[in-house]
Amino acid sequence: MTEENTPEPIVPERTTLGDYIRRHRREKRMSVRELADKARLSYFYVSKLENDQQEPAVDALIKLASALDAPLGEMLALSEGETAAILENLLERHRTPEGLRAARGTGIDVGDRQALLAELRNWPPSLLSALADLAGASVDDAERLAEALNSLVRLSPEERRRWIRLITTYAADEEGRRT
Amino acid sequence: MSFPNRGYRALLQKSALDRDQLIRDYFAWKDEDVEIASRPVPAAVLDDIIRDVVECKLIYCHLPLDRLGEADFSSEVPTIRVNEDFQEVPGFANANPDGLLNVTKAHELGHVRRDHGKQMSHLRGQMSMFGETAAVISCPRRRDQDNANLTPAERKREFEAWAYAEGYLVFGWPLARCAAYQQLQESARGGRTVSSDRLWRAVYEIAGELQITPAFATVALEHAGMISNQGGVLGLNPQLALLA
Repeated sequence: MTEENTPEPIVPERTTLGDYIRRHRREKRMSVRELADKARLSYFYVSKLENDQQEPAVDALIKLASALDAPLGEMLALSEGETAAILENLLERHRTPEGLRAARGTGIDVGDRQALLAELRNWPPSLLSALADLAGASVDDAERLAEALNSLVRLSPEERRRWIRLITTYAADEEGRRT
Repeated sequence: MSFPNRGYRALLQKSALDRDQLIRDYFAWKDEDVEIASRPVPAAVLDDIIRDVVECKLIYCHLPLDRLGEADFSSEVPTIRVNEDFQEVPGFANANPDGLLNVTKAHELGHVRRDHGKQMSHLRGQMSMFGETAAVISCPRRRDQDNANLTPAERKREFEAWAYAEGYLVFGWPLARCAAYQQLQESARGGRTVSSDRLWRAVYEIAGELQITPAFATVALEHAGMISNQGGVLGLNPQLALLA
């Protein structure tokens, strides 16, 4: 299937990620707790996602998509799972003492979120190493991933969504092949 | 605390009927056939009923530290907000967290069930109409400020929402199913004396089983006519217990 033929996500306009999760959960007749258990996420976390109170982590979306049997691409698109949000989530996850120490080593002002996000586009070594650690990959792989993310940033939102769909389809396919 | 009057009892019964219908609707929606005897305690399905049967938004969030929760009818979908910092609300530092959350949510559900459509927004306020013990549950502010900002109509609605919470969480089969309650009934029938300490133990057991606060359980047992409470000294109320 060519990119041009890729169908648009069937998501009503102005649907939020929370609405989307709720709709799919209710279609499956699952309670929030059952969904949280199935996705191995905390009850309060899923509750906050359903109410659009919480920025979703990408790995949480993957778990939720699997638990709900819902298309991950649509969830990522709804979550504005675009680079800035993903980076910010990555950053949040690395707001650990080690992560902060690593960031301090690069001279980044960790108190200034916007400045930090801008800095992240340059991918300092400490962040690449954190990314590699998170993804269970080598630093070389992380560098390539960073390049890909930087390319995504330069695309239009529509192009970016197409690429994210392709990536998630590929990932799901790989996952299926492994299992 | 006197035995509740007929009007109050009617409110409890009405709330309990509503609860039973909501629980039936919940299991019908889940497509599960659950026998009456094996139904979970009402607190255990409270979140699900709020979200998936009543179809309210249930939001755990930061609220000002003078309130545990609020019901908001200002948007299309009624919203129940629960203060996730409730343990920082003055007077609640040592509260039983799950029990307090359940009591708060049931109270706010009471507003939704009774008040939705009456064009009320951001209803809040607390009542101390349940006496000393209930004041611990319901009134985070200083006693001398209780109800100071409530109109008589708002007081009535608050009172009814607390009655709804009691009816939903405790009244009827949930209380009757508690082992500790059944033992108290046995003692009452046998005319046995039960010490205040033992009654407090029973209160805590019932609160644990129903997933509510001990203070709320105490008030509900008083309303059921099972016990009397004289400044924290509990007594079994044999005559009224037999009527309960």
